[in-house]
Amino acid sequence: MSARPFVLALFLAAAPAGGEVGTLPGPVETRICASLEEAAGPAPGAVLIVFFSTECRICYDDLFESRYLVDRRGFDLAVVGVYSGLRDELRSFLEKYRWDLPVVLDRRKALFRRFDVDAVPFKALLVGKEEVYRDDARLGLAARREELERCLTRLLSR
Amino acid sequence: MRDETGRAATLLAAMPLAAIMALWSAGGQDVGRWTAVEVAAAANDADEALLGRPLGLAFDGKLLYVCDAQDCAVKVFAADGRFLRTAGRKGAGPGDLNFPSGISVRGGSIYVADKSNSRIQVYDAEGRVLGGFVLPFRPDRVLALNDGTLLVTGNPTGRAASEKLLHLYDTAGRLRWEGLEASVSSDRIYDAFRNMIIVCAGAGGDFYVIHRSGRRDVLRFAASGGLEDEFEVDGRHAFLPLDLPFAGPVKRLLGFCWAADWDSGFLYIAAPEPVDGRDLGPGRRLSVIEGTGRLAATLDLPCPVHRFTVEGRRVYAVDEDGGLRIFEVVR
Repeated sequence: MSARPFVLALFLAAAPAGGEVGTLPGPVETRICASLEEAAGPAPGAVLIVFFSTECRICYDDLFESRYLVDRRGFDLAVVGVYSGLRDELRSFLEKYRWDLPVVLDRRKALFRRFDVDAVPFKALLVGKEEVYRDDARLGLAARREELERCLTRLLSR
Repeated sequence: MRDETGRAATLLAAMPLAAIMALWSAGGQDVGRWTAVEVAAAANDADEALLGRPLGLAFDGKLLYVCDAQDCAVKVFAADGRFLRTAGRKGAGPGDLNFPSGISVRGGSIYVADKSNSRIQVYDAEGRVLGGFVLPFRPDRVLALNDGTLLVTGNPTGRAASEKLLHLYDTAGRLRWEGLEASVSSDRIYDAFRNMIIVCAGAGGDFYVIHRSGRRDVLRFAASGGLEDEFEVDGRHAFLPLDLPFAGPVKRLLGFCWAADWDSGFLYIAAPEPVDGRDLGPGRRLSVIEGTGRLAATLDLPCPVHRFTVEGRRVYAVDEDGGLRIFEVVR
């Protein structure tokens, strides 16, 4: 359960996989979505949902780590963040870290309830409408990521 | 006969809950079984009215104050649940908050445990900053006692010997007393659970200390810090075991109290309940405990509550999803 402070640096170093460092992505507001459907598109394939908070590194590391994993392994899936805090906080976070993937602003915690999330960070993987993976809260963060990678490899590797 | 019964029912309906409990106890009755119904609360559509992570509630007889650790603000509601305004915003400057975890109201002042800024912040009822003071630890809860003393609790870090859980300050931030030493072992996570306490303001400046797990004795302190009384809570109050894989061998915690409040001579203690997919979660039953520890009654709420405060026959609570709920106690 260590915070692994090197993870963010690792992600930033790998950022070109999702967009050139120094190139501003589109307007932040367009990446803040009201629903999972809006974020993932009308007929999504696989969607990795990452519930996070902007409060502490350990709370948002999973977002960066998830994207890094997807980019590194070339998995064909969408990564969608879910956040329940204030819109201004999310906007600042997206700008600060140049995050250019969609994030659902879930102020009423509809997705938190739907996926039975009571603590962040937390990840779930949807294929169509089927939830094929969810973090085991009893495992440490590193073990959860390994389990997710195994699941993705099994399901999505070509 | 029917008229007498009807009159008694009308009288009971008008009495505060504590008075009914006192009558019930004085009559040598067995444990009362009470229920509560939801009072239709005002719809709050404003985004700032939403409660992201409400960790503390305080009611001053007119207004309900909720500290929201996620939104870093105090949210103020009318007694009917209508959202009125917020106080504070995220930050570290005067009046700002960072993870407010406890709140108390007395004499028109709102005291907030500003956890991540390691300080107590004080506002007036309109949300204007009145001041505050810095603490040498991260506060968890704050209680404004009758005589102007502030009780501040802290979570032990495990990094120092003889850490205290209770700290009494005057309103200028001068330390008056510290006490209740934290339990320490080689397992800091286990210790964190064991050292979780809930404090409730009693009568005349007294305060009660209840451990969330492991112990069913309640301590009553005077505002000076002197231990006034200690009593065991009735064995009929739920005491659920929780085996957790802490470091080393599995250790058993006895879940005792999820949330608590004191009103008019009675302690209201919510026991945890088993929750699907998790070990323990908030419960929907409150045990109404007399000053001797005897279980006077149980009070079943319509839903599990995460935090609550009792005022007369009303229970103001936040549910598992952070929604504000208002209940009225009925027989």
